[in-house]
Amino acid sequence: MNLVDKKPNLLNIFFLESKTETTRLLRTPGFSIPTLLFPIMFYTFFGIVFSMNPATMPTYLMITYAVFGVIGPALFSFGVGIAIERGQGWFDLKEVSPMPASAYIVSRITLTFFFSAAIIILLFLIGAIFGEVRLFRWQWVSLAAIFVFGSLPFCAIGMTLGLYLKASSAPATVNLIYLPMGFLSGLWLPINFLPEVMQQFANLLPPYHLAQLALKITDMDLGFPVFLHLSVLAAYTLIFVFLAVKAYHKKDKK
Amino acid sequence: MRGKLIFIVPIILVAFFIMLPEPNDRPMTQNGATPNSSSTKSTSVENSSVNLVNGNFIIREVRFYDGVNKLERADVRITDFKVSNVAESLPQQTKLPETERVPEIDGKGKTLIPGLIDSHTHAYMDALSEAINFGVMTELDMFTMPEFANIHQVKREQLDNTNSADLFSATILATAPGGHGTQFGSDIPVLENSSQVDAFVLQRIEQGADYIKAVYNSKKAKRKNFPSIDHDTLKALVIAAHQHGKLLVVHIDNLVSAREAIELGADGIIHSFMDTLVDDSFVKLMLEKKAFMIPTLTVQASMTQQIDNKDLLARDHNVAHLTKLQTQQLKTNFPNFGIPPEAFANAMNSVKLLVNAGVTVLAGSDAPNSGISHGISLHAELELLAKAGLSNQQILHSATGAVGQHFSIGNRGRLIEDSRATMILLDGNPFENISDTQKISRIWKNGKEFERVLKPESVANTVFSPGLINDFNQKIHKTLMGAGLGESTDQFAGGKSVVELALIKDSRTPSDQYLKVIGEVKQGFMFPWSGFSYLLGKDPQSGVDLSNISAIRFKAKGGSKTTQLSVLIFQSGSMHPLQEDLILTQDWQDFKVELAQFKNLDLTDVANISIVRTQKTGQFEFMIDNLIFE
Repeated sequence: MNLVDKKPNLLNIFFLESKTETTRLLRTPGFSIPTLLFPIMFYTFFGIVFSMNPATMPTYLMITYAVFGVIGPALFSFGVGIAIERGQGWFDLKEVSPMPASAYIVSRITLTFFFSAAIIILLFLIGAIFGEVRLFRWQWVSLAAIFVFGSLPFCAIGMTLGLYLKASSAPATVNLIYLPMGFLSGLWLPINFLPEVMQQFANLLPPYHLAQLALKITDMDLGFPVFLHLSVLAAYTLIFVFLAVKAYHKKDKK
Repeated sequence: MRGKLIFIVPIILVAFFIMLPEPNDRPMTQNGATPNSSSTKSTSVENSSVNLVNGNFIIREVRFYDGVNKLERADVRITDFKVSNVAESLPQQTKLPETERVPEIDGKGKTLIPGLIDSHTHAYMDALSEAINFGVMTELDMFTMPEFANIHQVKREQLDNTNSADLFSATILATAPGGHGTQFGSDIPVLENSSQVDAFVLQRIEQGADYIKAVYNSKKAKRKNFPSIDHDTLKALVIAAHQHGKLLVVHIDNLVSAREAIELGADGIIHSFMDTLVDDSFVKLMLEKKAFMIPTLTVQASMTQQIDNKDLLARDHNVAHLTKLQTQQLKTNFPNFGIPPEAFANAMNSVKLLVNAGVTVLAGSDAPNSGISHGISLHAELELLAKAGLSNQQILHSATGAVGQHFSIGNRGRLIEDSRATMILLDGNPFENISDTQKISRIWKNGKEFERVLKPESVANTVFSPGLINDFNQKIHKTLMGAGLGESTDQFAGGKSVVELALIKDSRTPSDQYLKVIGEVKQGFMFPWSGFSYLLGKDPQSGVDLSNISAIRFKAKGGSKTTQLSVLIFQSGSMHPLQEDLILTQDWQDFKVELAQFKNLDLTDVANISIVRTQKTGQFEFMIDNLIFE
């Protein structure tokens, strides 16, 4: 036996952990079905069936619902996931296992990306087939990239929530943040349909900035500079990573 | 499992993104929308062939001419196919809801002018689609058949008539029996005296004339080429036209006639005069009566052998859009009428004197006369007006805003609030260089972008070698090369001429036969003809290459009264043949028509050689034998 000398392959650990986490979530229809179905259902309703302007609405809402779609898995897999595992003691068990802590985070990010990709593909398909969305290839690809990587700030937010919230209250709390934040950021209906005050308020919300960033690709944004949106998103990420680290250490001291 | 996934997932993703639809299903091109080109805030629309902009849009920072006034820099808003707002600067759209934004076009360094108006043409066949292809969006026709005019008079009111120019027409002109206008073979009503005028004008208006055109030559004029209506008839025409609320415009070619016409109350005169320079009293008269002149310098240059379309034909931005027929038209000449060269200088100088005094001059080309083609030749007229000494703004005015001050053509020629967005965007500045009107970047007709038609690509034709075409010993219709030979008359174009072909045995050598052509040339089409055509290409539209042929040879003799015969050579797609007239005798004679003598003939693309009687009406008979390419 040669257990000690053999160095563990980090990539392999990441892969295995991601695979098992993904399989676990796929087997939890309570998570996978709503996260996949909600954005698609809303988009089909507001973007295609009841579209007010068939020329631009399907494209605009495909983008905003994709943003809505990708922040869902980020908030839920991190926020609700960690809170529940903490409640079950599974989180502590993993902490004492030889698996590096990074694998835990990487696996959840992979999971988020995986669900994001699934949502994006479904939305693109519906948009292209039923909404007659026509974009240049560079636009399709850039949008997909923005959506996938745009979920990272929300992973940070989710992680913080997961570490602070109790298992029993987490699902309700995350939903209470997720749905109104999506609406107020103009993901459900174009931002300019909202009253002026709410439009001002949207400036504080990260989904609004991610949506504006994506809408720039199709020239449908409100025309604010890219670096503004990027810095707001970066600031949110940093703040919530900081809060998560703080929460993690606080938990240890208990 | 893992190894497979690493390959399969990316492949599926790449395939997915390749399958996602793109605009117009057109792959992204280097000149289309690239990530860089969309860095500007507006929806960039550089490549017009991919992205036509219609109905609602903004042209930003463009030099702007509304038909009367000029703005060095303007933003122009088009709403629902009409001009809705012109301002030095319109608000940016960034704060507008995305659903209300419209495409923007960058007009920097460009000039936006109203669609041009050609105030003197004769419109038939493809005239109006040739016109729009060069930014001429309205034609004032000065004699065509009402059947043609009526179709387009209906169309001009339709907003979706966006592929051809709008037409206004005088329909049939008022002239004397045998007068100018009757030489084209059409059987048109004529005026013998003033008592017929009321009925004539009423009939014109019933047939849809937008204004009345008369041809007049004073008894006092030195040059009398055609019979003319008399002074009283012209007077009656002015009164009758005005009674019905129509303008009366008068074709003249000398000062005496022009003066009489204006004194009688005619609204405008057509053609500048070449006999002499205008004098002060005439200038005063024109001002007093607020009369206008349509000088048509282009046709006068052509008649005096001074037309020069070389520059026009040297510019790629023109050549790319000229049809073969148009190029041929631009290369043809009038026969030399022997008019002295100074005559044209008189015409030019008279225009200058009139404009300086404040008389309105309207730009008109008189297309499609020899050397003149619809659309393109209005630009030639603008260049000639510049040569005559008009300022570029005066010239642009004469082809846009000035027309509507006299003719009831609505807002055509203007770009003001609520006028139809019929306009051209020019690369360059026609206020500095009038030939910049030819640098057409984009065209809109009634707010819809018109994609300019490119000239068809030429394909190599079959090369013919010298040899016998038909010795008429066996068959009439079958030829040894080419598609064959057949009867040909103007019935094809709506005329009434008739013809019959027959093979006749030669009395001296019974085995030898010849072709006998009997028929009658009748009035009914502008250019009547009757005879036979030898078709060269596979179908009537396609041509063959005759580069290796130096001449057409045949034997011919005339019937009892027939002394003249014409050989017509048609390029493919052309209705305007090159013509060689031959004199026949009662005896067989050898004829040789050298192809080199037709200096504008493109030998690589000849479609049809016809041997016919033309122009002279009446019965005829001629004999042909041994048709040979040499």
